[in-house]
Amino acid sequence: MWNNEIEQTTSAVTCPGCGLSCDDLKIAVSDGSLVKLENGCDLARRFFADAFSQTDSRPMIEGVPASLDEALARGAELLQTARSPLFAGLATDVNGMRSLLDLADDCGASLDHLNGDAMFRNIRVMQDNGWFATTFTEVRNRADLILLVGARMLELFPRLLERVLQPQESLFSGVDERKLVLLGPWKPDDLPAELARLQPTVIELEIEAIPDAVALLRGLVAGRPVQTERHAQGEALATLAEQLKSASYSVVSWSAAELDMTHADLTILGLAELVKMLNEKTRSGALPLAGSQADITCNQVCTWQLGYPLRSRLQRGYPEHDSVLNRWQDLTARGESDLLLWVSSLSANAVPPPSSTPTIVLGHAGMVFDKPPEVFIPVGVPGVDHPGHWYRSEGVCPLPLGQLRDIGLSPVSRIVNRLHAGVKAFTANTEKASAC
Amino acid sequence: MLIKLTGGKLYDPANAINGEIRDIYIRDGLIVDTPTDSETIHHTYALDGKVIMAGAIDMHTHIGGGKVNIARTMLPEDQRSLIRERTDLTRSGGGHAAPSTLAAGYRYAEMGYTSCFEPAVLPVNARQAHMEMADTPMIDTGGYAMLGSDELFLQLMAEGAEQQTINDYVAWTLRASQCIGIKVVNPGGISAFKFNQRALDVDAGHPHYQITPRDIVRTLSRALHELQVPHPLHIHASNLGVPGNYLSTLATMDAAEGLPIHLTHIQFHSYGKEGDRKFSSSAAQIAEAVNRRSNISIDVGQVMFGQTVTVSGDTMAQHANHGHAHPHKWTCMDIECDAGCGVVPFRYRDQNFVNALQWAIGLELFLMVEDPWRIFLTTDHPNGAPFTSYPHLIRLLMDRGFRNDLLAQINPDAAAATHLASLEREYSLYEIAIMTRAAPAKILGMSDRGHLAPGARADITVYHTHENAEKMFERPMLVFKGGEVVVEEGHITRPVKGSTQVVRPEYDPGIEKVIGRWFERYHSIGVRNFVISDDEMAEGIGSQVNVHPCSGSRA
Amino acid sequence: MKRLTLRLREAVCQRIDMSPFTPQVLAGKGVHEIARIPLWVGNEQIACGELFDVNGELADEMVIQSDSDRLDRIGANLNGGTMSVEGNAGAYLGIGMRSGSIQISGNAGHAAGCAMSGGRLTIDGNAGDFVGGATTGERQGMRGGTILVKGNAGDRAGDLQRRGTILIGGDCGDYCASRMVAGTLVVLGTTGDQTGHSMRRGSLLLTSQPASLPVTFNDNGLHHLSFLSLLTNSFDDPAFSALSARGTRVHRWLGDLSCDGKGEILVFE
Repeated sequence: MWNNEIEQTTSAVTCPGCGLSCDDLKIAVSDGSLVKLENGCDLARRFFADAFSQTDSRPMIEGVPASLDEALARGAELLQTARSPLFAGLATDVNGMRSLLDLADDCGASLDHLNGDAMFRNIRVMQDNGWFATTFTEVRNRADLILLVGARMLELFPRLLERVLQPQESLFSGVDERKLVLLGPWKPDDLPAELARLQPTVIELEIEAIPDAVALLRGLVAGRPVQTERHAQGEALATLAEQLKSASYSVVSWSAAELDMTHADLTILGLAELVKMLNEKTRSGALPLAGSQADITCNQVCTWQLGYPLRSRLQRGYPEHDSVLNRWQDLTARGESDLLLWVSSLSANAVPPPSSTPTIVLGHAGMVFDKPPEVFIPVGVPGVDHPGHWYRSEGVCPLPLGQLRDIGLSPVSRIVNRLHAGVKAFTANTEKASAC
Repeated sequence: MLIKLTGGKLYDPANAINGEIRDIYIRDGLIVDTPTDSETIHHTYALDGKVIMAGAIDMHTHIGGGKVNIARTMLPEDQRSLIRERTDLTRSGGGHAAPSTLAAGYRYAEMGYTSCFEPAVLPVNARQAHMEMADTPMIDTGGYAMLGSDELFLQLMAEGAEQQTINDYVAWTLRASQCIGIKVVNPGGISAFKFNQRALDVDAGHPHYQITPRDIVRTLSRALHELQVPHPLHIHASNLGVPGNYLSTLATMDAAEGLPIHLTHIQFHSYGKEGDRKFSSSAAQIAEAVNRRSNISIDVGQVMFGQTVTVSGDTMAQHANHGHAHPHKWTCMDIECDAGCGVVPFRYRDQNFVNALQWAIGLELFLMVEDPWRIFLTTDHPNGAPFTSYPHLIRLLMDRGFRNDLLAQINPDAAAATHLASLEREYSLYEIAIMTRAAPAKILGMSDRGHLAPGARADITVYHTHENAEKMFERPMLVFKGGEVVVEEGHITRPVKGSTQVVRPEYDPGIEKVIGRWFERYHSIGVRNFVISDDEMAEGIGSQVNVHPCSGSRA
Repeated sequence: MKRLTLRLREAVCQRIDMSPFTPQVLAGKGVHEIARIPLWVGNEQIACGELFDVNGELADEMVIQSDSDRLDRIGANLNGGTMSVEGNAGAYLGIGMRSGSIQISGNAGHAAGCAMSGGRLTIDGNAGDFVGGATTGERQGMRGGTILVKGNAGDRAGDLQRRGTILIGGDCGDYCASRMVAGTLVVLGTTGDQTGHSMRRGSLLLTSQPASLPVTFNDNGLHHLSFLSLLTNSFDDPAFSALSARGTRVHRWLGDLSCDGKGEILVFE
């Protein structure tokens, strides 16, 4: 597939629909159309259907169709003249991100991902404390107690049970004896059937009440004189604390996207510290769920190339990181950036926010804009229009994405490299002019 | 294009050239024979008074893969501590102990290194390791795939699989992960820790499979020997950092039953438990054992004082040491029934008894192991110190007066507990060239580098002579990579990309069925997506594969 | 009094790093030299004089006149001397300051007094989130000195505070004293939800019960704490020394028991 050979029927396709990155999809394509998709969930079906339904590769300048060369030239000019460009969205594959970082270094850009808020709830915990994490295959084979914090996991990661928590077979722990505890805004009488079947313990709490529950759980596991009676679910949490202490390999999982209360990083830090504490005597692992829109992918590449995670900027000729000041929503809303390069190749819905900042969009071909950006260049969907690499939730397993059709939609990396060449040519010309 | 280097003094131990003035000719990226008189020489470098060596090779340095990225994420202060600005030729980056990939590549080249090997590639994380190394400019790279705590291997062993089956699995792993060697880390111990076992000595049974680290070392070293993989089993032995662990290290040597093995960062495995503080040097016992056994090679993993970060696949040891984290933050990870990783920042202090003695133990090993062909210069970057301390380390080896001056400054009890002062040996330039060029190339089976004879890649480092070896080695005059000048006077003048060094022993494809079935039943990735193809390396990951032949190790 | 003033001529869009402008860095420089100091505006450098009117002489005080909320790192690493801001400041006002004093007549942005280890930072207006907090990745926030906020402070005042005193005359947002390691934080107004979250040690002195405490704080009842009169008398700001009139009887809460649990929240009766 790295030789642009397009297979018509292919198994072991990796799905970039969410951070689970199930790689067992079977897909058949005929005449550039999707004719069969097996093993995928609703998100996967939607992802591939959306990708295959888009065939218009025409760029636009201010809403008017233009040639690719014209669009690239306009984009390069905007980039070259920008004094404070922001590269955001960043929903692309490894090579897309590599090309963007190269360009960002030249342009002095700031970088943030469209999921930056959720991502930094976790990253701040890594930066301040670190954690003890585990991964899907470990959970499949080892977990005897699984604590899910939050209630949207199955919506955000539809095959979580089948692929990770309740596989058909397990090396070391009986899948049937596995205990499942749900802590969050679940409705015990209204669980999805696949969950209800597992007879989980439900500790029902609103999202805003999770910080207290996590704090209490930590106090209980540490054996400190906390007062369980002061919490509505105190007894259930006391039972859970005992279960965690006696489990051989417990797993504590959350999705930072769902934990959107203010200062959720502190609650996630609490979960991370809970797992660390459990590991003093028994074994436990944290399983933060993420990865949608290539957030983990782009953050990994950014981290190895810049030394810092996203929310970094290269304005002064070297990387500087600030997870508060480089939040993309603020940079655009406050007018701190004078150009937005919005990259979003995975979903037609992830359009840039309405703003008065001049905007270049390298986007999914299905994007519809309320206000057309200065430049729109449709790009290929990784895993459909071009091969690529994509990271799963845990940031350890980059998986290859295949190519399923060729209708002339370029990968982000190719477009960005051409933009970059344009910027360099522009700079060279300007220097020549000023030298004369 | 024919290039001539003339007048320089060559140190080329692979060809037994010790400081002779000789000319070198370069054409099409290779060192070539002296041309005939009729051939035009396009460029001549007059290098009178300069020292010429092959490009240096770091055979054990953690420059790529998930654990390094965790270290970068966890230590923004490390990035802030060293900034590298963008230039017209080079990208920006930074970091001291866990540099960005770009900064690491540039800095290695600026120090005259042209090939570096990442020693802990988790097969499941191999893509990332190769992507990071592909983004490490200037140098060729390669990796050692970690086996020995992966559940499939342990299961095969526990079921009494034939050696041939193990060999096939090992060869398949090298192929799938695009690596040049196999490493075992705390044999069986990373897996045992997942079963809540907190220590695993060489003859202790794994809590689930009952097999011992000794069994694992024996089986894997035999596999590599029978597959004729040049690099022998690369072993991070049991009980890293534990006082008294030299006995485990000696037992690990025995476990190989005479087959070639490489014991890595042996400084961390040469500890006794004598004295008031129950911590002492056993460097003498280890050096003596290495001197006696020609099947053993080692690298040191020298400790240098200052702030660094320890990154390792040995979750058992890293977790046990998390209390020493400085600053106090740490990350561990159990990974995919494959292995794990632990990242613990650490500051080695010269006034701390244990740290000071660790420093001395490393130097004792360097000075007491006699054969420079079997001992390699490493700090186990960044575990003992960042690789940027190599020039300082070289001076410590070459300059006894300097060494003793520093010895006088460390914790006095540690200074009293080492007989470093009595070790008079001073390394020669020839010996430095052995341990940083000729021997690493040889032990990895790379006949195309590490020497200056015709046929070698023209990876060449030219140094100004300087009485201070640290000054000499930190800033070479010229570095040639593939025949092109890429560094002049310590600055990058031409950014280049390297390739990935691998070996490809043959195996019975029948093993793929066994592996595929196991993946289907227990793994969260399909085996087809686990294997990295050559096309994927070249076009997706961004580094061409360079295959070295499997014709056995030197022993 | 001889003052050096830098007056921002017009509003800027980009954030400007003002750390090159402290008495230590500028010592011995005249206005023309100072006006030539390069400043980064986005991805290009311009001379200080293009943005600021530079006047006066650096002797007793250095003054920045600006209504912008984007002048960051004013007084960074200040080590002696007097600085004042007439107007507002951006993020990280007084970051890492070691001694001397900074006084601002208006509002300060994010993380004022971040990682400071000595000296005195006085904010007449309001402060943003993370007053006295830590630089990203550092395990300790403010390590010494005094921060006085006469107006309100945002969320997470005193996050990771290790030593020193933070006095807040107005209200505080949520998660006040989060992860506090030690030191003293006093709030005359109200405090928000999860006050004291993950507090390990240290003292938080309040005049009214917070909107909410973590459930992992235990009620330790009413106490006469004689050291309080020493503490309140030591405050040199009248609004805070007036606390001594409140006596020494306080309601004490101990926590956060999710961590070490050796912190105390003291609420005057």
